[in-house]
Amino acid sequence: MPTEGIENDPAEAPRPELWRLAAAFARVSLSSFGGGNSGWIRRELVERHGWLSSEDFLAGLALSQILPGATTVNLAVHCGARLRGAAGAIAAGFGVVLPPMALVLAIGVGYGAFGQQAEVQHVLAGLGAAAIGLTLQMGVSSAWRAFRRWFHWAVALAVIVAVGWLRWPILPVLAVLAPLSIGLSYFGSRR
Amino acid sequence: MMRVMIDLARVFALLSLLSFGGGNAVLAEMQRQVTVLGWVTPRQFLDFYAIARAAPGPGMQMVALIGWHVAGWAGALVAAAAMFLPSSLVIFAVTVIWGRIADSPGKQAVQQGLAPIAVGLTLAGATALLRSSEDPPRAIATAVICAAILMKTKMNPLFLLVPSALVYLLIG
Repeated sequence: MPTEGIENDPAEAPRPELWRLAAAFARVSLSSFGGGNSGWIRRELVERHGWLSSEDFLAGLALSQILPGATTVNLAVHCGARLRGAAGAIAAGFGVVLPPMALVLAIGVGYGAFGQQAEVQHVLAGLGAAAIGLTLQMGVSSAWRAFRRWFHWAVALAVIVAVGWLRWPILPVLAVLAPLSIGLSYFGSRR
Repeated sequence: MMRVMIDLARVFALLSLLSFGGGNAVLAEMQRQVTVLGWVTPRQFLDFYAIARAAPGPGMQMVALIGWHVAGWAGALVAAAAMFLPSSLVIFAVTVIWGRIADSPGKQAVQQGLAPIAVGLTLAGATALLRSSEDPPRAIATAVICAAILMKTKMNPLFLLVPSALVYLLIG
């Protein structure tokens, strides 16, 4: 198992088999309850398989969040495309969407409105809180590895406060902060 | 029947392309459209949402339930394809174009500069979820403990999800 943080040499970029890609994303998708999705994907792709470096993963995650579409599905298509082109994108996309959807249709068809029961709500709240823990861990360890300059921490904090706390709409916040962060990174690296 | 399929495809494909920042961004608009069209009642919409959130996987898979309710299995397929395909084509195109750009200081800067955006949005989502939970202090404590354990070990997160769910079930 490759250790985390080792840079992928482009000359020997990993080319996982398509079924492995589909299986990895199916696994992640089926285990992700209540919002821990990107944390699971990072664990699977970066830490478990070593298919992507931490930096590559974060750039892909940012694109997946900024562009329209469900973040997990976007991330699957992006990672699949990077690793195996169009076939990889299709394999990863189907892997992330189809298994849980089959489950949801089965539940919806079979049980109707079971989601309103108190016990189900408690279990969901517990799953959700632990899943958020996974998300927190993903955010903090990614920051630790990928942030090169102090202002990267400042930008991340500004996004958390503006979007998470003040609930400002995402698009205008990113329209200001993304160019700022990229510009500072560009001029910072030239010195 | 054909008419309904086209409507399903049209409504969800448009929502797909509008869902900047993830599916939750278009949830309100989706509810408005599908109830105005008479496909589901607001109550059914909530139930479908609860089921999709309860199951693992992207929350937007609830469109498959709406499609199934409106037009059976074919409807589920059409609705899901319309919701996931257009946005997937966009990110695929961006990924391919990004891969063709030669490595340069500019590309490095974009990659480095986007990293804090990704981390910020991820933690902002976690913050919003924790604040809107039924019992924020307990949710925050659970999440922080789980995060700390994951930080120190490489353990499978499933071993944290299950005990956490059990504790919540027992405490109520």
